[in-house]
Amino acid sequence: MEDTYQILAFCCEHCAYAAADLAGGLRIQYPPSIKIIQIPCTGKMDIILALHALEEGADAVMVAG
Amino acid sequence: MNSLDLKPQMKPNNTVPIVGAVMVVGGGIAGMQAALDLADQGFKVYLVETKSAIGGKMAQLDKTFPTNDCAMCTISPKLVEVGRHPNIEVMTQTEILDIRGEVGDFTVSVQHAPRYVIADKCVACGDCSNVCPVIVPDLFNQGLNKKRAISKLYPQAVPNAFYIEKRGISPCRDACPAGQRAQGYIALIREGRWEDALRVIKMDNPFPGICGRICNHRCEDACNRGLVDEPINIKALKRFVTDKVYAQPRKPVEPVTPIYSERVAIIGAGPCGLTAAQDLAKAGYRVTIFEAMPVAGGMLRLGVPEYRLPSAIVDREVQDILDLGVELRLNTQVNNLDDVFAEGFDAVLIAVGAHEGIRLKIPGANLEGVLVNTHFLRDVRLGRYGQRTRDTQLSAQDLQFLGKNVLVLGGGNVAVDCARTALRLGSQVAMACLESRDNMPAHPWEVNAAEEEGVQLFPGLTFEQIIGDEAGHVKGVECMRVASFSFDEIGRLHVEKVPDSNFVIPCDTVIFSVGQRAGLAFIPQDAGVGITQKQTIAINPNTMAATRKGVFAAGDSVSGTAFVIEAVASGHKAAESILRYLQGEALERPPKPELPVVHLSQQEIEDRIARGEIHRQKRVPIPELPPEVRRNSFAEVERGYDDESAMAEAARCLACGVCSECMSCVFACGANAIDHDMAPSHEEVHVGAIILAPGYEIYRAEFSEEFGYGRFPNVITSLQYERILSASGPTFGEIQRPSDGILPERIAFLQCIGSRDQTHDYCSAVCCMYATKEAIMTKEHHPELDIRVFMMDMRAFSKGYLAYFERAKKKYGVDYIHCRISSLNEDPNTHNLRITYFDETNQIHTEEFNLVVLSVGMEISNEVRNLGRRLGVELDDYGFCHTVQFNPVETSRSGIYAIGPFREPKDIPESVVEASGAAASVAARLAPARFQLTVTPQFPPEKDVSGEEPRIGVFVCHCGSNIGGYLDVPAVTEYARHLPHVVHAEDNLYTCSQDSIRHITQQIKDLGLNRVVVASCTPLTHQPLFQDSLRSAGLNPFLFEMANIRNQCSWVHSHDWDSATQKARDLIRMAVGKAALLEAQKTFAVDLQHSALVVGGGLAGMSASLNLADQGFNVYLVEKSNHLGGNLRNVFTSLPLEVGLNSLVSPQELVDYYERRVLENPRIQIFLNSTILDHHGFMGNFTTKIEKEDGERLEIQHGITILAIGGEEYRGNDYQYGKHVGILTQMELEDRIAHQPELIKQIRSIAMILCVGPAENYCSRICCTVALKNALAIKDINPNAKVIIFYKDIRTYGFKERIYKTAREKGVIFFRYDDTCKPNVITDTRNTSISIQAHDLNLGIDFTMDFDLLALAMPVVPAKDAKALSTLFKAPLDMDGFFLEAHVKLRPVDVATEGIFIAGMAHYPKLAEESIIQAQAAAARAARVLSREHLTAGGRVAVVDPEKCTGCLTCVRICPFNVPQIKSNLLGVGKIQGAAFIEPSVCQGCGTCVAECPARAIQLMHYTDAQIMAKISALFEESELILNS
Repeated sequence: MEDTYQILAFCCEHCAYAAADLAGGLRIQYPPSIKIIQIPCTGKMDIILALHALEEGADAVMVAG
Repeated sequence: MNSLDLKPQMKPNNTVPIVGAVMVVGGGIAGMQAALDLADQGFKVYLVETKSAIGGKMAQLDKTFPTNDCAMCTISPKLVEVGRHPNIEVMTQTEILDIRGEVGDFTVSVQHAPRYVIADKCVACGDCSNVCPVIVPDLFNQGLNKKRAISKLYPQAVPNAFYIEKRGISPCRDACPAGQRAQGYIALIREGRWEDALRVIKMDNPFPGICGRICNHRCEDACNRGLVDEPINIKALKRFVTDKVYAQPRKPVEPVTPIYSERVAIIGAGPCGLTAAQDLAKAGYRVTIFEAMPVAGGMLRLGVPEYRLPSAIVDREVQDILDLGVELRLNTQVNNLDDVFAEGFDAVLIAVGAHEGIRLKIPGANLEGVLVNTHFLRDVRLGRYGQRTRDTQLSAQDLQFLGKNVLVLGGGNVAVDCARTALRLGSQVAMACLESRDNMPAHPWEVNAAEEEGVQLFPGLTFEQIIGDEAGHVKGVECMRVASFSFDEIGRLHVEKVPDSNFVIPCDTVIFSVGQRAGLAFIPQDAGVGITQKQTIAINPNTMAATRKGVFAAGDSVSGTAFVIEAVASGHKAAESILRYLQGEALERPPKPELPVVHLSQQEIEDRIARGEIHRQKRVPIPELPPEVRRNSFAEVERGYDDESAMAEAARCLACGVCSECMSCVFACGANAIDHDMAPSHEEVHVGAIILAPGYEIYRAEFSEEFGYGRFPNVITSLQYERILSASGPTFGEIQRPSDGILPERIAFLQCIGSRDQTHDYCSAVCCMYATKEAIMTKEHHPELDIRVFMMDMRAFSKGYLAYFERAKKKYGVDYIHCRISSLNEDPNTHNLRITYFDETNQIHTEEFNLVVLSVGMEISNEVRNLGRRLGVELDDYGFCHTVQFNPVETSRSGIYAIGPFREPKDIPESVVEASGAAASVAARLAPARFQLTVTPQFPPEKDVSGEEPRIGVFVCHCGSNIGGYLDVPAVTEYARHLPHVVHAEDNLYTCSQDSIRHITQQIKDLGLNRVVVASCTPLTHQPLFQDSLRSAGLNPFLFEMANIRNQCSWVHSHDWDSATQKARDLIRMAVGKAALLEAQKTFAVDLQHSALVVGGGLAGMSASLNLADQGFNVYLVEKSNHLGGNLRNVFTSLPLEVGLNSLVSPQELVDYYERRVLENPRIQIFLNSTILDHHGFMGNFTTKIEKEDGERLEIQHGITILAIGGEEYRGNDYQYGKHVGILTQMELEDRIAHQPELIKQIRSIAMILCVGPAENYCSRICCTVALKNALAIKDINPNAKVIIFYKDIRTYGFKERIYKTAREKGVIFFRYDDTCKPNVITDTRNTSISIQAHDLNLGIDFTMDFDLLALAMPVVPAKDAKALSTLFKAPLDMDGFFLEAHVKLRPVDVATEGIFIAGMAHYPKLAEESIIQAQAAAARAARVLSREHLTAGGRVAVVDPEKCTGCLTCVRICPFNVPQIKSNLLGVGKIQGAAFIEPSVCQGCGTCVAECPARAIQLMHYTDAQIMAKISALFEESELILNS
């Protein structure tokens, strides 16, 4: 995958967001085009949010939790 | 002691004050849970931990069984919660010394070990660790990788602060008079950091280049590496690094501006005087050095020959000192001490050295051609001698030449210097000395070098006279041979000569080198400065003060000749005294606590070699000039290391002291958080009770040598394997075996290592399950791997465990073999392991594995045993803590409780249950002192900013270099300043430092900010901290947003400056985008009922009720039957275990006692024969409708509910149950044993079958134990009865193993069966006997046996009304029909529905003791709610807009917490009656209902659609913003 693709990741604050923090602590490198938005729970993930992101210009949306 | 007497909860003596504080000892999951439960219900908690961070063993685990949740993800929020709790004081690196007093009022004496990092100042940026050169095994990762001496225990550690590991003073530093941190600069050399290494040396010694050449390096004699092979070549390394730095252009030394008016005179510019001058100048004093000679450097410059110490080095190092601003007066002889004071100096240091050579008083000593060492060497260094080979032709008038045959008299190092110098001047040289060749005072390597160069030695001689020729010139020395010599007590020499051994050594020049002394002529008799008999200055050795006020003396002039490093040490000491003198302080330095010197034992060395931490490797040799070259040249004899050799030599260092105090961290820390001078401190803490949760240590597998741990690299412990599996572990979760880092294809797990063996009569209770978990996780990573588990029994005895085990076998293909292995060997070439074992059919197999994991059991460490002994609580032989059988978490000392594996091996949920249970016991004792010592943070009233335009302040953090080092923080800040609504942006070095937090508050006030964005680390750890600065400024904490530009930006894009900078801009823009739409979220108080409903009057229900009543809460206890006591009414004998102080209490006594106490308690209202009709409301305000025996219905209001409805014994018709009078359940058997022992006496044989009916699907946990208890009871009554047990696995976990062991000893016979060969029961109604057909797995044969009785271990099944109550209370059931806890590991008595708790067999089958603890735990969790004055609601909660609600029930069904309700009094869409309502006091804020609501009628506050969409849009808005700006 190209490093320039804009990927928006919606991460549950209890697990995936914490894991992303840990990845930082371990200096695991990944493309800077990935941006993470913290959500309270993946249950909060709403298709509208994903569609909005794609509409605005995201190349992909990821939900992790 | 009888536990019944212990039970009264409060001491009747009310004069003893009750302290509302509790100490919890041990920061593992049990300690954390106890601390939280107590702090949440109004007690101040001191959480004491010996390590630098809390988290315990759970933090080291990869996943947890049986849900495979990530352990760290689960524990991490708890860590943060504990760390931030206003009423929990975490005391890390703290030991309990002693406890005095009694329950209600203990005084605990604790000792805090120094952290060397000020935790409050540390911002955990890690800049220190990046520069720390000391590498040590990372024990958190079980030694599988290395870490730095300054570190955090693990990335998520709480407190989030670094600590320094210091073991002591390394022997090299200890041996050095000046305390050189050799270990420090060696480590820095290993890392190629030459400048830093030199900085370390210079901190203790201004003459590194000099000492790197001529020091006698006692450090090397002391070096522990000598125990391995050879000491580190410290001297050569020191010289190397000096050469390395000095080869670069010299950086100018910054002069120090004097800050004091006092002046200090130093007499003598030798190493001692110069050292003192440096220290005093750096301290801000004006210093003048008086030097009689034309050059500075003293003996360094004039005594040590050029070939050992080039003048250029001396000049450079002297200049470094002078450039500080020290005045040097050369050629200035001080003739009288008074002159110096007359010139206005306030203090004088005499450091004149010992430059006066000594001539022996023998005939001819003053002949022409007789020289003395010091003058000779000085004249050579001042260029007054010509070199015969090179300079003979020169006719310079002032150049003299030494004689052709020189004899040096003396055997010391200076004598060797004289000899080798004379040789280089072109003379033939001999040395004569008193001592024998082997006992010469000179260093052997010096003597050897002299000999190599051609110096002739005449040892063992006296010098009788120097013979002169007619012209009065030397022509020889008459000597005699020495038979022996000695010195008497006052230092006089006595020599026994060999008679008639006189002979003459011919020579034309004699150089005396028999000692030297200070020239003290400038100190007249009346100067007031005392002189010793040995012609040295009399001083106080502690302070270097001479007898005259203001006069100090140091160096050779007080000690006699010594080495440079001693002069340096002496100079430092003198300077320190002079500083104290000038500042008017007492001269004696107050004593400073010192660390011990680290002397490694041979055993430790061997262990470290075995672990591969040390490899034998001799020192790297130093190149030298060949003797034939050096003989004619003053060029340096020794050459230096090259870079590679130096780094290789440095890598040999064992880092004995761990931290070397190289101070790299101090220079790197921007927060000034490091303090190497911290000392241990004591504290007395007053508490009302103490909970001990010190945890376990894993069995040290090296003690079981047969498994090769420590010898074979690919044999590892299960905890090491956890770290290997962990994504944050040493291999980042890649499965690699230690020997070669390759993925092992075949892995063997060996069970019961350190459990159930010759030295452990208990089961560690967790190993079967964690091995299964590790096997599953391995298979999830690599399904193709072949995994074998060698075990005796599969102890899958708790909730969900059996299904987990079955999944491992069937879904993942893990292969389990019932056996202990016979042998384990290693193939030394491949490091594979060969395991030989017998399978269940007695076939022998040998198989090869790539990796062996030892499932190590639990033990109690020596430290914890000692703690137990200090505190006076009773321990068993293994160190486990005795507790009262029916008051299960209290120790033998009243008011001190024990929980977790310290009582008995157990897993996480049981430890958590015990933690809560202990919290309940403590709360019952200390209830009157609730809220006595707790605090509530106070903030000013909040301003209403709702009508204001957003005024956003952005604070961008450098985080030391963690952000600023990888992206352009100033540029990002500048960018942020121009974002919409941003009125202020600034960058801070550490935004989370205490100063910055206050600064943000001030900026909010000064600039009128109404929204704040901090761009820094992660909100998960830091958001509450920043929110507090908003609250302090009167802003609602929800007006805050964070941009994670460290963990999710600078750290993960650390090689791409531009992209990281751009991403930081993006993230801040997104945060600002959301911030503009942020709204204040109000929280408000909700009243609650301070009473409880307990459903079920069995042991659990009664225990919970009693505890809550003892805590002061009213309880409604509802029981469907006509009596209290539940299943315990059917239990007649206790477990034959010596588990506690009390085995006197029978189950029936216990149940009667509980019943009596419940009946007597005025706070407990009992409803027998009553049923629950209805239940509604939410936590704090439930309403329950009850129908009493007489048909009366009533409603009760209560704040919480505890479901303790118990379970019942299964009564299916399996194995012919019900068809034959001799076939009983275990409960029926127990009844017969208790009430008809005569029947038991008559039987000849009894069979038992375990795992009956539903127990084939879930393990009912207690049946094995109960069956064995009954088997033993039968054997007691009738020893001749044959007792045969058909079993699949015996699951006597923990100490219950002892019952199994006893049963086997007493002759109970065990037959294993599996699902392929279940026993077949045949009954014949005419015959009283019962036949069982079975298959012997070992012999492979079928057999049939007859029995008088058959007892079936019928499992416990859920109570019949469990399902109905589940619906009523919205408390879900699990697959087997038991109540389901909110979280298997960490919320084991909570139900997902807030305010509902479970206890006893309603949760899962358990023993009486376990039920009591769980009931207490439920009470503790309930008391967390009931003890509050009111509940807080609001904040991040879901809010329904009823006008959009269609009442479709989607939210009601989807909510995992059962919160939304359709309220008939609300009007929905189209004003139709009935709309959803979400009670804010119980909403968990997950937002699931929001996402699911088809009408979009629900919004999650603080995460509204508008806010999240604004954030998303902001990411893609950059181009527009740029256009607009």
